[in-house]
Parts: sequence; C-alpha cells; structure tokens
Amino acid sequence: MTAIPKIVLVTLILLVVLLPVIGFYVEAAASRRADDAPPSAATFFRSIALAGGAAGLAWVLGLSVALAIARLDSRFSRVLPFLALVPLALPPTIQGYAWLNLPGAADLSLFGLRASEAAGGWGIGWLPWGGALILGSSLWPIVALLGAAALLAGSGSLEQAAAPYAGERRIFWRITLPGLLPATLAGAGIVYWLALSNYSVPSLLAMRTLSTRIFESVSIGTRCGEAAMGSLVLLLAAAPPLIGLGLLMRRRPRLSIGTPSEGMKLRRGRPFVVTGSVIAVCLGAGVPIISLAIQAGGLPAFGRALALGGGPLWNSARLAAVAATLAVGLGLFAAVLLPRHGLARRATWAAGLVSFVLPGYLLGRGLTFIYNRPGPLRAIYEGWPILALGIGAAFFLPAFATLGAAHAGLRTSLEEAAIASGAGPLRRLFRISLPLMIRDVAAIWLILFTLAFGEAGAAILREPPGFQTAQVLLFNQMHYGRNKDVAALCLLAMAISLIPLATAVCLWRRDKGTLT
Amino acid sequence: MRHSHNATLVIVLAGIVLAVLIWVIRPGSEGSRQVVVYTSVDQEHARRLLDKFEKETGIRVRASFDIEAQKTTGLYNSIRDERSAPIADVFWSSEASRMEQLRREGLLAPYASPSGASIPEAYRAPDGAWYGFGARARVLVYDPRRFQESDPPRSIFDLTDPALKGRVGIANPLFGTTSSHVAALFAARGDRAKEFLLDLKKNDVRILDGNSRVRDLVGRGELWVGLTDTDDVWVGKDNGLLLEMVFPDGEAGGLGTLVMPNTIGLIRGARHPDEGKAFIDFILSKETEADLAYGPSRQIPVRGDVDTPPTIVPLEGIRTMTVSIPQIVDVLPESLQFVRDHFLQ
Repeated sequence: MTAIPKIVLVTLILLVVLLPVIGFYVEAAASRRADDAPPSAATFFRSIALAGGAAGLAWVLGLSVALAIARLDSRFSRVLPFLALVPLALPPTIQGYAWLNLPGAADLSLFGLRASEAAGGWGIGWLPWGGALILGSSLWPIVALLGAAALLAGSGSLEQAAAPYAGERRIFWRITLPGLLPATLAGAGIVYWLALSNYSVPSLLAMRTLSTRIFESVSIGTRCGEAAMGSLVLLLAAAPPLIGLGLLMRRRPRLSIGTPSEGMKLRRGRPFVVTGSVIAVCLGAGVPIISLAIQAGGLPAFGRALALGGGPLWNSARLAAVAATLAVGLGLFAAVLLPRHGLARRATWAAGLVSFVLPGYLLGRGLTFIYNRPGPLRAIYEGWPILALGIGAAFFLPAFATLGAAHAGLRTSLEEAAIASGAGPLRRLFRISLPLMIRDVAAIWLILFTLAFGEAGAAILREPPGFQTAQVLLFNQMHYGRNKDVAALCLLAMAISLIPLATAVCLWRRDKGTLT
Repeated sequence: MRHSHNATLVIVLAGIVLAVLIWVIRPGSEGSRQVVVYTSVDQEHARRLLDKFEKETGIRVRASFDIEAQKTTGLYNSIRDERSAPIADVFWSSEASRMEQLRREGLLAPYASPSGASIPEAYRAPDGAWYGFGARARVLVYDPRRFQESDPPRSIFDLTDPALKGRVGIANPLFGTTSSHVAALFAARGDRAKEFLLDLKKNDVRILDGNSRVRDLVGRGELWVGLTDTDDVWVGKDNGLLLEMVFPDGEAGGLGTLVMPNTIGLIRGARHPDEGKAFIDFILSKETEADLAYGPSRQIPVRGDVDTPPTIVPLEGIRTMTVSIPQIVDVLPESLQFVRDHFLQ
C-alpha cells in the first residue's frame, strides 16, 4: 500500500471515529462562559469509587467464571459460556431497574448496605456501593470472556509442562494467574471505563457522578463549555487503568505462547471457582431475571409489552445492526490495512479510546453540532443515522482491538506470498485476511449488535421524531410506574439480545481462542 | 479455496446490501400528510391523544418525547438548536416557562386557534404564540403511614423541619416543573427562596431524576414526603401506591400552590404549518381537555365549563400562587444559576 492511501485511510477512519468528539469540543469552545465550573472533587472521587468498585467486582467474578470455563471439566463449565451472556443481554439500565424493584427491596439488608441507608447515606440506592454492585454484576462477562479466551489460547501447554514438577497451587499462582492477568485486567479496564461514563445507573440511583454532572451541563443548553471541562476531568479519571495496563504489559511478558491446548484441570481450587461462578451468575442473571419475572406477573404483561414496545424494539434492532456494521467495517479496515506497529495504529487506538470513554450523549451532542445544518446533512440529523454514527464511533475500539488481535495471529506468509504475486491491499483483505478472520468478524459483530441494542447514551439526548429506541422507551416507562409492562419489555429485549450472543459464542467455541 | 473466497465476498456484499436497505427504509418519508410534534408530556398520557388525532384526521404524527431526567429542557434546547431550519411543527410542553422563553426568543409563530378562544387570558400568551390547558398543581406527596401520630407538612417550608432530615425528596430543580416551581419561589419570595433551598440542602433532601421517582420512593416508604405534580400522585395511586397529597400553603396569607398548565405553540418556520394548526386545534378543544381530566393524569381544566370527574379539585378550589408565567421566566436564569452553584454543588 502506498503512503498516500494509508494517509487517506487513517484520515477517513479518524474522521468518522473522532467527528462526534471534534464536533462537541468545537461547539464547547464557541460557547464557553466565564462562569463555567469544573465538577467538584467529591463528584470526581465518587465517580472513581463507582467505576473502581464496579471494575473490582467484575474482575473477581469474571476471573472465577473464566477459570470455570477453561479449567473445569463438568457440565456446569460447558453451560457457563451461555450463562455468562445473560448479563450482557441485560444492559445496566435494566439491571439497575431490576435491582431497585427487587421484591422486598425496601426491607432488604444487603450485606448491611441497605440497612446503613437508614442511617443516612451509603445504601444500595444512593452512593457508589449500590451503583458498583449493579454495574459490576452487569459487566463481569467482559472480564470472563476475555479471560477464558486467554486461557484457552495460551498457557495450557506451560501448565502441562510444569505439572510433573509442581503442585496445583504453585502452577496456578506462577503460571495460570500471570497468564490470565493481562486479559482480565484489560477486561476490568473496559468495565471501569463503561462504568465511569455510564449515565443510566447513577441517574436511576440518584447519584451525582461525572457522567450525570456533564449530562446536566449539556442539557441545560448552552453549557457545552462546562460539559467539556467535565469531560476532560472524566478523561483524567479514565487514565488510571490505561497507565496500570501499560505498566503491567511492560513488566510481565505475555505467557500466551505455544499452541492452544487443554490446560491443567482444577481440583483443589474447584470449590472456589464454582462458588465464584455461581455468585456471578446469580448476581448478573439470577437476581435481575427473577425480579423482572416476578414483577411481570404473567403472560398478559408480555402481550401489552409487545404492543407497547414492538416498534421501538424493531427500531433498536435495525439501529444496532447498522451501528455494529459501521464499527466492524471501520475496525476491520483499520486492523488489516494499518501497519501492525507505528504512529498510525497508536493514533487510531487513541481516537477509538476517546470515543469509547466519553458518554454517548456527548457524542450525540457533537454530531448534532456537525449535522444540524440546512442542506443534505439535515437528513442524517433528522433521522436515526445520526444515532448509528454515534454508536458506531463509540464501539469502533472493541472492533478494532478484537480484529487487530485476530489479524496479528494470522500467519504472515500468506500475505507475503500475495504481495509477491502483485495483489493489492483490498484484494489481500477480501481474499486472504477476511476469509481467515470471518468467525472473529461475525462474533464481534454479534457482540457489538447486542451492546448497541442496549445502548441508551446518544438516544437519550437526541430522539429523532417518530423513532424511539427500546432503551429510551424503557427509560421513560420506568418513570411511569408501569412495572409489569416494563419488566415484561425488559425480558423481551433480553431474549432478542441473547439470540445473536449465543450465536457469537457458538462461533467462538468452534474456533477456540481466536476471540482474544 | 476459490469457492471459499467467493462465498466470503457474497456474505460481505449481502451484509452491505442489507445495511443499505435498512438505512433506506426508515421512518420519516415525506409522502403523506404529517406533523412533527415535540412533547415533554409523559409519553403514556400523550400517546393516547396522538393516536386519537391520527385516527380522526388521517395526519401522521411523528413525535419526539423528552426523557424524565431532562423534562422540557431537552426539547426546548432542540428547538433552539434547530432555529435555522426547524424540524418540529408543534411544541406541546408539560409546563409553561420554557414555552414562554421560546416566545421571547421569537421561535414561536402566533396562531389564533379557534379552539383556544375560550381559554382565560392568564393561561395564554398575549400574542397568541402559546395556549395553556390541562393544568397540574405542585403538591406535597406523603406516606400516610409516617404521619399517623403527627400532621403531614402543610407548607413547602415545612420540608426544612429537622424532623424530616433525609426523608424529603424533590426532582432535580434544573428541569421540568420543579425548575419552574423554584423560579416561582424566587419571583414570590426573593432571597427567602435562596434560604429555603439552602435549608433544604442542610436537611439532606434527596434530589431525584424526576417527579415520578419522588412519588415512587414516597409510595415505597423510602421517603416520607416529597414535592411532585398532581398527575404523578394520581398515577401512583392507580398503581396501588399508598399516597396522600396536600395542596401546600393554602392558608390565608400563605404563599399558595403553583399551578402549571400544559402549553402548546406553533414553531416559527414549521414545515407543516397547516397540519400543526390542526393539531393545536385538536389539543385545545374542550373535548381534549375533558379527556385529560378523565384520563389517568387527572389534569385540571383551565376552563370552568369543561366537564371533570368529582375527584378533581377545580382551579377555583385551589389557592394558587399569584406569580404569573412571565414573572417566572424573568427570574428563571437567576434561579437556575443559584441551583447549580449553591444547591446542587
């Protein structure tokens, strides 16, 4: 590939991914006011506590599940990848709602958290612990799936080699866990960022975090300057996992060497791993589903929910399909056509990270600034393509990272042979890379479809006339006290999300370890 | 190998074609008669009337709703953002102050609706840019189980009572009717309103993301008392919550209760002005106001001759605040600033 197309490619990708961010900051610069104030220190630290708590909980739960999937030999471990999908199909908004409306919740003493609320403050419904519990319970599958993929792809042969010389505990602490750390900590980092920028759970719990504070600034009209200050503080708060992961990667060489193989099966550690996995599944799937099922009451609620939410569910599905296609398309081009190392790849990573970390409604605001103009751009602003652009930009990073890792795992000899026979970059992409990566492409598309299906961020700020997504409908309905219909609608949305996710896991299991 | 490549290409092309098709088949084609309505009225209440209008007139309604957490303000911002090429034809607001702000900014087109002729002057803009109808009152909602041995609060100033510390909830006063209520206090009481807010803060008031959330937490016994709208209380009662309400400060010489009507106005430069006017006429009809009174939100008609159910307290039976909507809008920027800088920080 010549230098000019590379520059064009990088520019195009950066433009699509960064356009919403650029739009937002340009508008912010134009609307700065003297009395714009940054978020308070209390808000900053509360947000870090929330995100850190959620990431910590997700790491502990996800680690147990990853070990159970990859290092246990039982029926439970074979079913677990599917159970691990359920929390992903229940977006944090729904999880929060289910937890808050848990029958008997008003009297529930949850590890003492609820009881202490009566004394005025740190209960599940009010300050970070409740939010961290809900977000951690909802997002642990990210850690679990990344961890399981790393285990299945990597350290099995090392464990087998060490087995004659060391006990299970020693192998676990010296080989399995170090091999698992980069992937699971990366997963915890993703959970941290998602929790930091999450708006719906703090909003439901009436918590004041950076995300809710920035939302207030944006939605009071011309306070984009203040929202921009808040977003910079949020990016600052997003830095710790990035720095931590960078240090970890430097100090610890990757242990995922050798061919994928069955690793050591846990025996002594089995009770811990099974208990952790059962707790994870109960928190992330059992409690919310039981809560929702009890609230829904019976079949009539599902009929009403379908009548109420049929249109929005369909809207969400097609929006998610287009957004996932956009993110995966861009991610694929960037992963395959950009050089494997160098400035262009790092710039693309940075651009993707900024779009991923900033709350969706800020991207929506930026896109509004770009597209809300007379002329042809207006069609994008007025319809739902504006939401697809926002969600696609936000989810570019997971697509780029996943497909980049998959591409890095391909043998280079095929591409080198194609170059030698004169094949151009697009021909190589479609004839060599894509066929070899097709399962990864399909799996990440399906996962992003599910995440986009549950995404509420951009649509909360901008609902195109006549186009309501299921998440916004749910968010509104939750306020009207129609608990039966809302619960049934949540369960319907979950069922729709689970179909592509289960397909993704089937693809992944047929090709163990490539989704890393 | 070649077979596999061809299959891949077919899959990719099929995916692209599907994505394009999905993109193209989207709502909002301009073929039929339509009206774009931005409404901050609760979706479940508005939807019924929008469907009825569609059925009666054959005009398709494309609606945008505001989420509870940014009630009215979100759509107000959108209309301001879109001033160079409006998308909305009609703004149907759940309160009046943002509508009056839009009028002052020249974003509404005056329209002498025949249906609105009978609406009292206090509930419409002098130039006919907007009309008020179907009002709600700001009330104190309380959990009767908590006040079996003592009287429930009768004044909003009772919410600062230390006995209620940590037990009072209000919606975020930057949005919706709560923001108008705070501005009305500023207009009526000046600095006393600021003291009240600071006292509320000292009393650990819970700031929630909507009036209905206030109602729910009071109904579930997690809060003892809150400030909300009458329609939220009625819906809560219908859903089985144990709630009672008080029209606050109704004693002689008292501050009075804030009554906030729905408002509706035509957007200046609307793309479907005729359909917009038809919609306004429909909403302002006495039948619609009676429908709102008999509906789940039990909204209070501003016209005395509209039929109402016996459970509704008519406007004449409520001692209302003497602050006008223009007065509220005059102080709204100051009150919002104070809330942001001193109450929410």
